[in-house]
Amino acid sequence: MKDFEAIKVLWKVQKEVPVSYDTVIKNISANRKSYAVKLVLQGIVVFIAIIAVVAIWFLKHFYTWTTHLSMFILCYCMIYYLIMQFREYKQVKQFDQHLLKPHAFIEYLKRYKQNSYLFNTRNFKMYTLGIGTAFLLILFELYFITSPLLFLIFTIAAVAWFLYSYFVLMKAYTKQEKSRIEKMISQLERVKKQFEE
Amino acid sequence: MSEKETLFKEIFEQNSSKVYHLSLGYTGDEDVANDLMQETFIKVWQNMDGFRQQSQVSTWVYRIAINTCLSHLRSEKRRNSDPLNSEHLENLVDEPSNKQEQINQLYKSISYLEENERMIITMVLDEVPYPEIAEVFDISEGNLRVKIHRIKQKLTRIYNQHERF
Repeated sequence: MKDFEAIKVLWKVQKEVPVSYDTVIKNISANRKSYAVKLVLQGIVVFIAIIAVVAIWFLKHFYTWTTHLSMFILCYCMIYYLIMQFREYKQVKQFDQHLLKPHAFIEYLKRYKQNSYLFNTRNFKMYTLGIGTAFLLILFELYFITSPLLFLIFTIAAVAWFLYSYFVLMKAYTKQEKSRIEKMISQLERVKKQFEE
Repeated sequence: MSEKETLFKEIFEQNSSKVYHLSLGYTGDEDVANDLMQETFIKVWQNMDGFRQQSQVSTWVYRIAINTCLSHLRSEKRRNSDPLNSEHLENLVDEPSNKQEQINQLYKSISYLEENERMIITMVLDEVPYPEIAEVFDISEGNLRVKIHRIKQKLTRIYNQHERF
């Protein structure tokens, strides 16, 4: 049998912290670089994709206005994605919330997670609708420049992709995210009660 | 070494073991505790310019450490009623000694406490002054004393129950 004083004595014989100051300093530098590298890489990939779409848009002759609209939608979706990535990066870099009192911090976490869930599901819906619409608009162009068989194949593929993205992928993503956020919120609520006076 | 680095080194040396104990008490997993400790000090480094000396440095570091642990909860599925994964606890050292087994048992007993109780008790065991703990948790000292009394009893009971087996 041990009393609390004996437990305190036991606590003091623990081994030292396994991570040195030098390791932490190295990780601080690596952490800063990894954020920047990730952002730059994402930016480059999306930028190349935008340039490719713009180049096709201006260098190729299109017969219908629907294709121009389709190119515009594709560019808009990609630029929107790029802006959102920068915004998220800026949000992640804000650490002021970590100085909040525990009760307020849990409330902040709850709000942040709920907003992020709404934002992600709304964005997923927007990309699916935007890119799906862009592909469907290109079909008008294809009607004039390809054979009926190829046109039929393209149409079936585009419609199938759109339906699959919207009704299978998006629904599964939303359902999974909803269940994850509900679990998280109920857990945060439970912990928040512990920090009430 | 710049002035910022010198100050950071001082903060790290004075607080790292307490932050590590807090993280290990909270998660029961040495690797996760390591990650949380490093994450805490990364945030300390990033916020050092904004620190206004309104509170003690240790209180400020603790606040960041606690919130970092609470953020970790987001991905955790474990409930406090579930014992910690014993495999993690057995791996706390490569060659467990009798003393180390007792320490592992102590961390296992801490894992049976509520999340805020785990944090409070690790701070008590690290002899953090009560007014500082009360400030970190934003509760009155009177309320804290009541909580600590209850947690001490609870932890001692759990530890002794498990030690018998």
